[in-house]
Amino acid sequence: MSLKDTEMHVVSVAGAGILSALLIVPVVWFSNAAVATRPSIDNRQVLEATIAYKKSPTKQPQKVHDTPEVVKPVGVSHDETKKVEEKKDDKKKDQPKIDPKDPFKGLRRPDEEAGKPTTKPEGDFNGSEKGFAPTSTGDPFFGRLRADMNFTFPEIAKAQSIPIGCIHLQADGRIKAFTFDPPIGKKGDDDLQTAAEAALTELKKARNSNPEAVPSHLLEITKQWLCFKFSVSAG
Amino acid sequence: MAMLQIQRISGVIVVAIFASAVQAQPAGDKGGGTVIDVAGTKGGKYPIALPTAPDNDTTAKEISQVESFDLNVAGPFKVLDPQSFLADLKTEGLGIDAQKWKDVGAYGVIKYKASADAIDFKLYEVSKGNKPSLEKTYKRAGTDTRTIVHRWCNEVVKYYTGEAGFFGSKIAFTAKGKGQSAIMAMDFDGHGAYKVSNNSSTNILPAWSPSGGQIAYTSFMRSNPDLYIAPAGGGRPKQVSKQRGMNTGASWSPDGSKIAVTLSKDGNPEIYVINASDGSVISRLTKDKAIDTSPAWSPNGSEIAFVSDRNGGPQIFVMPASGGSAKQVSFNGNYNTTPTWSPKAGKRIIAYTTRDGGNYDIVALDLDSKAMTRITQSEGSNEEPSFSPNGRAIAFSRSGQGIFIANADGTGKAVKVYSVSTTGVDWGPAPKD
Repeated sequence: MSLKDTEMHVVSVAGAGILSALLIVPVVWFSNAAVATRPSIDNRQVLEATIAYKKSPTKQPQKVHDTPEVVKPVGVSHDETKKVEEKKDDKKKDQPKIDPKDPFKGLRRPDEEAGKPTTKPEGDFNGSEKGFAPTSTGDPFFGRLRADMNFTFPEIAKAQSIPIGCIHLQADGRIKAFTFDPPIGKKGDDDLQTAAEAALTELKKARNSNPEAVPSHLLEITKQWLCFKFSVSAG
Repeated sequence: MAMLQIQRISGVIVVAIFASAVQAQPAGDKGGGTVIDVAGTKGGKYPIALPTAPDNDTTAKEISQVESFDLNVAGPFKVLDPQSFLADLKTEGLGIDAQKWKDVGAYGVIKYKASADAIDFKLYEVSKGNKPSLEKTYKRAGTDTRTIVHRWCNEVVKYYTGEAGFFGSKIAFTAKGKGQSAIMAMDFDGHGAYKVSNNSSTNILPAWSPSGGQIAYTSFMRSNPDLYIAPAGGGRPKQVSKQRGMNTGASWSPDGSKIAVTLSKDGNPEIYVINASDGSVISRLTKDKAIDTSPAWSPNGSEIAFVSDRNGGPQIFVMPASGGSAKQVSFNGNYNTTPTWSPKAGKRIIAYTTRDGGNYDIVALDLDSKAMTRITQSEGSNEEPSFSPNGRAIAFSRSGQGIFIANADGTGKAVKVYSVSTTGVDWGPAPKD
């Protein structure tokens, strides 16, 4: 028997509805059942999970360079017979002539003070002045002076006085002369005097063959005798 | 008003600060000069020049040679090389140009002049100019040159140190020969060696009496190792102790009346004290299952050092001279023997032989400070030390080489004085001039 179009539509709609219901209802039914058996979310603990994987090396950002200009050689000749041009001398700019006696000639400032030039940076030596101020032993320069003396005193030698030996130390480190003041204590005819003389002789020899310039902050010591007080204790 | 008060107070404070700054400047500042302290400690040798007299004959050379050796081994001196001298010795004569000697680094100079009758000596200290500090004249009749120079050098040592010198003293030792060993004696510098024992048997361990007139030693001349005492110049010995077993390692008491000795008559070797005159036993000092041997009487007579293996290997012990509790004093290594006391007054120093690796060396131990000084090292095998009469030097035997003298403070190099294989070194007392 054949159906009419209308009837066919009704049958097809009904069939689709039944089919859909057959598909949907079980899904919904079982989902609800799963939810009903699932524990309450309030009882769950939230966990974070991350997965670590090897990081692929990232390249540092690179500087963008301008593409260099291609410099085409100019004047390259392919003519084998062409003569090579002679090298031209560099043109030297005219340089002002410097007077070695007065290098600042022509360069002085208009407001410059006209003072006398300093010929001795340390000042004149005053042979009547000797250092009797409190001991200054901290500066390493003095330590090296002491070391260069190689001061020694034999075990059985006699020490009855304290010799005072003074040197005239020049700014360049050389020793011009040394002298001895009257010693402290008994007259200085004992072995310590001999040892002190030997020490200053050794110091003069060492410093004159290998001078160490006096540091600028100590230049004052070159204006007067620099004195050394020699003493020994039992070993 | 309040502001005014505050300003006044502030002003006072500023003035106070300024005033204190001025006060803080060092007193005595006379313009910025500098004095540097050069403080040294005493130590090192005393440089002394010993120029040979200008005539330079045999006597002059002998004087220079003996003088140079004596002052070299004395301890405190550094004898300068004659090649460095600048002075004109002919012009100077017996005097000195002090500056010329200062220029070569000399602190002292000794000049001498020998004639047929006498030798004149002068000691100069260059710091005192050309006036001699010490001068002596020795008559030559009946006295050989070496003895005169030794006496002069003793004076020099005494002048500088206050101590007696040891020049002219003698050393006794055992010289090994084929199938025998003899007791010998010689000048401390190796001259004039002579035989003390008068047999061809085995003779060992010589010991000088405190007076220097006798030498005790152990001899197998009658098969048993018995103790004998012979005149120091050699000759017929007297048998003093002939106990069964060992009679060895004699050490005289400081007064010369007793001898500490090792006897084994009661079983194992023990330390006894016997009468020096007849060998009768006075007392037994040790009673131990171990071997106790090599007694050494201290200079003040109150203690005896000896060797015992009671704690394992041989070590040095010290006990009262009357006997009693012995205390171990050596702890370095596991083999220490042959103790000998330094004669230095007020000091308790013992030198002994110690085994270090495969070699034997001499060390000196201060019993009070526990400081140890190494006398020999890496120079052969060295044994049986003996102090000089003033304690400044130590003589010892070097295996296969002979007898050496070294500084007791461990400085410098040992000097050989005798070149025959020896053992049993004992340095005699100071010479009686």
